[in-house]
This record gives sequence, C-alpha cells and structure tokens, in this order.
Amino acid sequence: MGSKGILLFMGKPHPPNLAPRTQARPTGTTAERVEVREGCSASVHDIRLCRAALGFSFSVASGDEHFGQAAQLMFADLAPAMQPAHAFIVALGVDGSYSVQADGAPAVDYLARGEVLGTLVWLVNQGVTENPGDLLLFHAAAVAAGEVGVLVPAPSGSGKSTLAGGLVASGLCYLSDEVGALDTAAMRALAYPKPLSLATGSLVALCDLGLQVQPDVSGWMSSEYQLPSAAIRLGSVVGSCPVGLVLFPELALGRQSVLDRLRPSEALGRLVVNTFNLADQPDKHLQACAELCRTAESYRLVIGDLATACSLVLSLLGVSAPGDALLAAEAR
Amino acid sequence: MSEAGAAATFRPKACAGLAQAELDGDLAVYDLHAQELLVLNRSARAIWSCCDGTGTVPEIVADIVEVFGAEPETVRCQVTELVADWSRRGLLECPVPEAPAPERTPAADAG
Repeated sequence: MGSKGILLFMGKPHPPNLAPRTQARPTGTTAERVEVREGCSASVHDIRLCRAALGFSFSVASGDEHFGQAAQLMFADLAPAMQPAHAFIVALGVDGSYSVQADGAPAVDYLARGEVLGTLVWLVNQGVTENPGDLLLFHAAAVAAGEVGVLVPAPSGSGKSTLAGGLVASGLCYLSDEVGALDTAAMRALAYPKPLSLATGSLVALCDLGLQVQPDVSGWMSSEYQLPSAAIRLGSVVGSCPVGLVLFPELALGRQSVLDRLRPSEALGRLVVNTFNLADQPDKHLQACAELCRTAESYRLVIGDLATACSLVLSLLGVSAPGDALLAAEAR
Repeated sequence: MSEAGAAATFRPKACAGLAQAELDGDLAVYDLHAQELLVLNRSARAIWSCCDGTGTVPEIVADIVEVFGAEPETVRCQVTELVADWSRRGLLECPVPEAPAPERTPAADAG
C-alpha cells in the first residue's frame, strides 16, 4: 500500500428537520437567487453538482466556493445525474452560520462550518434510505475482493466503517459505507460510494495501518471525519459484486481479534435487525436475507485491533497479505 | 364455557403479517413489530403449519402423531409448550386461554 496524503473533511451529522420530499424542486436554467432564511441566500448556479446515489438523485448548490469544492470531492465517486429529482441548497448567512434547504423547504439552520458537510452527507443518506426502490438496504458497509462481495452489517459504533476503510487500504475495492444495497434479483451488492464516516479513533486506527493523514485545514471539521474513498486509495470503487461473505463486526479494542463462523440461522438473526426496509416487502426481503445467509459464509468478527482484524478477513478471502489484494485490484 | 373448556377448544392461528422464509429446511418467522426472529426446525415448523385457526390443540397433536408416528404424550407436551410460547410472543392472533389452576386438596397439600 503506497502512503499518500489524505484530504479530510469533518462534519458532525446534525438532526435535520427535513420535510417529506414529495416535490422535486425545479432546476431552472435562469440564474436564481434563493433566500434560504433571512440574511442567508445562495444562487442555485453558484456551485452545483448533480449526483445519483442508488435510487436517490440530487443536486447541491452553494454560494460558498470552498464548500462547493469540498462537496465535489465528497461525492466524486457517485454517478452523475442528468435530471436530479431532489435539490439541496447550502447557503452562508451574514452571521457566518450555514443553512441547508432541501427541495425548497428548510432542512437545517444555523450550522457551524464544521457541521455542514456531515449534515449534507447525512441528508443524502436519508434520501437514499427513503427511496430504496426494489433494493434491500442494510445498515452496513460493503467492500469486494475480486468477485467476492463482503457485506459488513452492524449498528453504529461497531466498527464497520473502520473495517471497510482498513480493508480498502489493504487493497480491497470499495462499495459503500453506512448503507449496503442488495439487488435481491441478482443477489449482488451495489455500489453507493459515499464518503466513509469515521470517528477520530477510527481515523487514528487507519493511520496506524500506514496511511499518512494530512488534515485539510479548510475548516470543515467537527467531531466526525468524512473520508472520500479516493483519499484511502485512488480507483478503489467497484460497481457491483455478488455477496460471498457477511461479517458482523464487534468493536472491542484491546481484546483479541477473533473470527467465529456463524450458522445460517444465527447470521439471519443478526442480519434482519440491520435492514432499513425489510417491512417494505417482508416475505421477499426476508427470503433474500435467508438466501444470503444460506449462500454466503457468515462470521462474527471481534475487532480488537484493526490490523489483525483486517489480516483475518484477508486470510478468509485467500489474500495472504495486503500487498496481494492491492496487486489483484490493480490487475483488474 | 369453562376456562378449561375454552383452552380445549382454542384453535391457534398465526398472526397475519409475519414475514416467513425457508432456510435449509427450517422456517424463519420474523415479527416486524417486535423485530424478533424465530427459526423453527422441521418438527416445530410442522406444528406451526397446523396453526391456521382450523384445528384445536388436541387435533393438532393427533395430526402430528399421525404424520410423525411419535409418542402422543411427548407430542402433546411439545405442541402445548410451543403454542404457549408463540402465544406469549404475540405470534398468534388470540392468546391461549389460561387453564384454571388445579384445585388444592388436603391430600395434595400433604403430598
């Protein structure tokens, strides 16, 4: 793994007051200045990006050039969208605080600079989980080793993003963080390459794997890092992959890192509680979960330290060393 | 009808809206409200499939005995226990009526 500088952006997710997005905001072609709140406005053409994230397409406009550049970096791995169905406007007020408008309605006001990027990522994530289409969505990270997709479902704080970051740093390909999407017809995990959301401790653990972190000082910092996959390893994103391995991480720093094989019934019990939308199509989605547990190997992974946990997973995948995974990824 | 009579004529019926899926011959039943998953092995699955609101517990016992050729008292205990468990978990449309506690007699007390 080559050491490289990592551009970091931080932002603490903020509970938004997000109105139901039943109407797409018109994306006009004429310059339009939008007042998000009193003394806080932006032109929808100032800085704009249009991206598709699974079933959720969106645009982001902001009058703040630096924020616009940061947002471009954050969502660089998402596919472009021609006609985004949803629109976010991020505006800087005269008091120095930020406001976010979603589809023409106020979403979050009075954000500090360090909160606004994380909030935008959070809002996009929320949009993705509210618009699943026919996909089954898990609270999970996902990576891939060749044609073996690795789903990492777990509640917050279990180490799934950290593990995903460590595995990508070790040469595996990146599919998603926070939301793992399964195409139940093809039983393939789909890419949703949002930035990895990492707590400070997770970032330190990634640095311990050899990454050289150069925190960007543009000020988008709070208590949670938003780390684009390209900052870990350029070109690490892959399109989709059949799931061959399901890992249920448990963060237990200082303990021994261990892998325990789970029976399909045990895995199913852990998997279903980490779904976002099983209730949308209960029988179909439960059958997909059961199929996943029947066809993929499932393990409980105690993460005592990241390096050992990654080594255990790489061994399981038949990758003897991080360098092998990287070479395989580069060969692809 | 007495409570004992109500228990004898109770016809267990699985709640509608439970998600179900096959898992290597077992049956996974997921209660979306309680977010609880039960994986029923083959014999439990057979009893579960009888809980369609048409048969009483004694009738279900008779069906299982006939199909599996098992010892009736063993089957009766298992069926009663499982139906009571599913009832407690809220997986049946109506709870199992409670049978009255056996009356205490001097002989039993002396027991």
